[in-house]
Amino acid sequence: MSTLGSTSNPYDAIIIGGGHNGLTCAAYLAKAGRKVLVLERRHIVGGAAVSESLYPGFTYSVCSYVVSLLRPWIMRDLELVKHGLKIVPLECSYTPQPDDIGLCRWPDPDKTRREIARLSPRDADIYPEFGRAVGRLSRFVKPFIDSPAPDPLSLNPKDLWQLLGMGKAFRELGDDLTALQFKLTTMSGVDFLREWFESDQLIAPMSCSGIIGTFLGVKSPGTAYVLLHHYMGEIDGSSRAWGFPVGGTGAISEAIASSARSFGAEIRCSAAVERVLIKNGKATGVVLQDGGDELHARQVVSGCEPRLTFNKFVGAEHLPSEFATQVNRYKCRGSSGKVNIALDRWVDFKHRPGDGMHVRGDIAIAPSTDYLERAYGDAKYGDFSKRPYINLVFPSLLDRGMAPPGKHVMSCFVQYAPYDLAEGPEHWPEKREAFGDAVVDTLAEYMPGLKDAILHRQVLTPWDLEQDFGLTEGNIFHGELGLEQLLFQRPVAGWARYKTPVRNLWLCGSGAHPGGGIMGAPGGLAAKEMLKAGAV
Amino acid sequence: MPDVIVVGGGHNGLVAAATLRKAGRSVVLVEARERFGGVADLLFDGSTLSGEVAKTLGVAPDDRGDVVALGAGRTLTLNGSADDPGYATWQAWVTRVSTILASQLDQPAPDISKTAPVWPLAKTGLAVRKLGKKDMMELLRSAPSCVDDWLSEHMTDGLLKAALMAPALHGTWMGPRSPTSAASLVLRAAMQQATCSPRMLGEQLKTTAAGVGVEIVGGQAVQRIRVDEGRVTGVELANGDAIDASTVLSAVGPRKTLLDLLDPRMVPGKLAHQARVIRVRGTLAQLRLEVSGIDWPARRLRIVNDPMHLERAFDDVKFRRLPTVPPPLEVEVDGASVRVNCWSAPYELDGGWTEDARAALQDAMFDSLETALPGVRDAATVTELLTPADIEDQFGIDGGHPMHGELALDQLGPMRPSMQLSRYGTQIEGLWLGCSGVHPGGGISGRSGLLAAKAILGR
Repeated sequence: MSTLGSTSNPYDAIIIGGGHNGLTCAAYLAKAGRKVLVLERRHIVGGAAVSESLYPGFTYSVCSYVVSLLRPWIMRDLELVKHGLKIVPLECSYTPQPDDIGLCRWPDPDKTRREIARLSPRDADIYPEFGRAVGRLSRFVKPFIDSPAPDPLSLNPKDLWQLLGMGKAFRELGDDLTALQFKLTTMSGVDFLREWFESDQLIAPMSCSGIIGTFLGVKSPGTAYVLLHHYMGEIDGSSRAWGFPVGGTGAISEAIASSARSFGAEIRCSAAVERVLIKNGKATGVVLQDGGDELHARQVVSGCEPRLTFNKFVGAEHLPSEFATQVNRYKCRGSSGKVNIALDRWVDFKHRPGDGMHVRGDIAIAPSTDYLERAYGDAKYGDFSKRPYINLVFPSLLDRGMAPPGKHVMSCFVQYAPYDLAEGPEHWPEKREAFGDAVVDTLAEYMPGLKDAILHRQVLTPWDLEQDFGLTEGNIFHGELGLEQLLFQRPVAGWARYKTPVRNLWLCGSGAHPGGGIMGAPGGLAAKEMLKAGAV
Repeated sequence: MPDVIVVGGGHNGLVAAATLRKAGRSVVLVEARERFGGVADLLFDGSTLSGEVAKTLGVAPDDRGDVVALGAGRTLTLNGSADDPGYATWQAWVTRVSTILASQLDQPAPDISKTAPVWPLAKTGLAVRKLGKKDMMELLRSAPSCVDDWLSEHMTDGLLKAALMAPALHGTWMGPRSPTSAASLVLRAAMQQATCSPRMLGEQLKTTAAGVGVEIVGGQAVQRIRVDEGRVTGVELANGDAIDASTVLSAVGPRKTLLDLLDPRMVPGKLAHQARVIRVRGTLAQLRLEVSGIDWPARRLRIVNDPMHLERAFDDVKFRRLPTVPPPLEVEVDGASVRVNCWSAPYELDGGWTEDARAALQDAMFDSLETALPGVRDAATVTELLTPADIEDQFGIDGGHPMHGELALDQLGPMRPSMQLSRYGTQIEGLWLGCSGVHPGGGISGRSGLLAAKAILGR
């Protein structure tokens, strides 16, 4: 019998990209007994969910750094706990203020209430009620991210039936919640929260969740929706929002990869794909970059971002022109960067010193809504934010293995860093360190001893995310999570069910429904659709 | 005792009053100002009166000629002939889609409440499906996006894009980079059914209403809408007079009606909350001038350079500050009388609208005018400057917002001004809302007044 991957003995499926979604798709297909090959360009699996040691003794979660919506069914089906995955919950959401102790929101409602009451007794009273209302909505929305998106433009009775069911569920929420859902989907985070709260110091950090990974400000319509996700977290079934994977986010990818291998999937690293082989409008395999080897498969699945997939791996000549136009209209503007820092010692926050529970969660540099909006303003006109929004986590406090004893790792997600600099994205390399300095300068206003304690710093700009991780324009979600690019329109209206106009070519990355974040849902759902369609 | 009291003689109040009277109801209309028409006096560019309203009331369209855009050192006539290649295709799409959407604006918004029947909803769905798959796909894709992205997919000329989008941003509290601003442009296009000169509209409509037998009281503010045991019993005027009636249609804005005109003890907490959260941040300032010796290129002008010019002006609104760039302007010329609208003057200006702030705004507006039309500053005499605070005071509208509620997706259609209030009736028996703060809202169309009157007649 000839080698697997030859024309006479093709794989059942080849998956381009060993990110967490590609791996998830592979694991599901392998579990169903299919012969699967994953091709990863880098020397290590995980894509943007990857842990690497860039300074001796320290481990960075290089890109994504926390996890919230990893689907429980994927955890179960792929036995990720057995394969070594352990997620610890974040203990607090701390928002320091430059001249004040700031605000901590804790898992304990009474503690949170006392903190908020310091800012506004009225807000403290409403906060739990807000949580309950939004929590009820998140239960309504959850089915959306666990099944393929129905298409309202389709005349297929199945789609229409699914839509009707959704409409019914929507009305059944009752008028107050229906109105709330409507507002949540269309309003800006700040406007939405102002209907409930009066304290800007509370509204600012709450509104941040809506801007992560988008090229929008907290006052831009449509940014309220992501608030829901904060009430949707499902670590171990508890409703705690965010968690940290022991070993960094790479540990998630490793667990999925290990699961996939246990089912018989083959994973090859340092194997960059040059293009998809297409014969008579059908995908038949891939051509590798080095050496031009051809590998054949009955189905090809891309875990890469849609524009990269169709423009680079496929080519417009193989696509209907209308589809090609829509792919190029797909918005991928990167807006964030990442700074990973190795610290020689613990550095205190000015107004809440110590390495207690308040810093064992995520820390938001978001002192006011105007501050956040100004940060967006800089980016809108083509520069990085002089005083950015930063979401900070100290992984070494949650997992001692991330740094040598007494030393620490600091993971800074930074917004905004626009891919399109006024002088052009290719000028990012020469601005990279200035961007890193802006981040450190900002943090030093809250942590005065910071600069002296830095041993090593890694700065990733959107340009780097594109060059090193294949994220088009550095967009961390493989395409902006705007209303016009979600559900049945992700990535292109009518093509949200993982199929593409090229027969036997599928999508399984974050550019497919339901989108970005370490969810695994696009990968899992794509595999299920392929199996259901009898494609593999 | 009249059958109905209409509070407010803005264009919607007048339309509602005349409609009710024509259907045989006795109507008293009370207006606080001496002059009628309310904000019709302030809005001009792109303002339209719905075809059905114009026909019902016999208001003749008035051709005011093309709109001319001035900016970036160029002059551009907006009559569909601009030579940007994508313009014609885009315009054709907008015309197709807005014609179908316009039919939805002539009827009440779909009722999405739990107890509502499903059939009318399904009918709305079917009506929209008439667009056909391709147009509907484009509508669903474009509407949530920002207007700058959307127009940039079709056109390259910055001046053309800015001039097309500028009026769609009025009253939205959005800039060209704000998501859903493309929807505002589609809505704006659907509103545009006939043109007439709003400046004269108030008096014209007043004559019409009086002609059909509406009893009109001018120069008298309604101080309170009286409610007894959850039912409307009449109104009290500022001069102490009272008029009894069991039906009151308020056309002065939902927020003001529910929060200022009612005794707070009569308003259920939930209803008061719904009213409080209606967003009415006004951004309009108007400069009124007498100008001689200027050769105007058209009767209506838009002064703007490109989309980012509009965005920077919106930044000023967002940060509650005076113009940091010469603001984009809209100009209407009527002989020597010239009105200039600036849509980036924040109602919530930090420090308030002091004399210094007013002077600075006026200066900035002249800077913009002068760049587009050199010599205007010297040729003009200022008759009046209206800031959003003045508009609130003089016209009696909350936040100085001429549409009684920002035009945003969460405040449109079945959500305008809230889900429970979008059918013109309120939880208070006999109290109705009929102004642009209720579906379909927007500029000068008269539809909200007409639909509110029809809702009362339907009861």
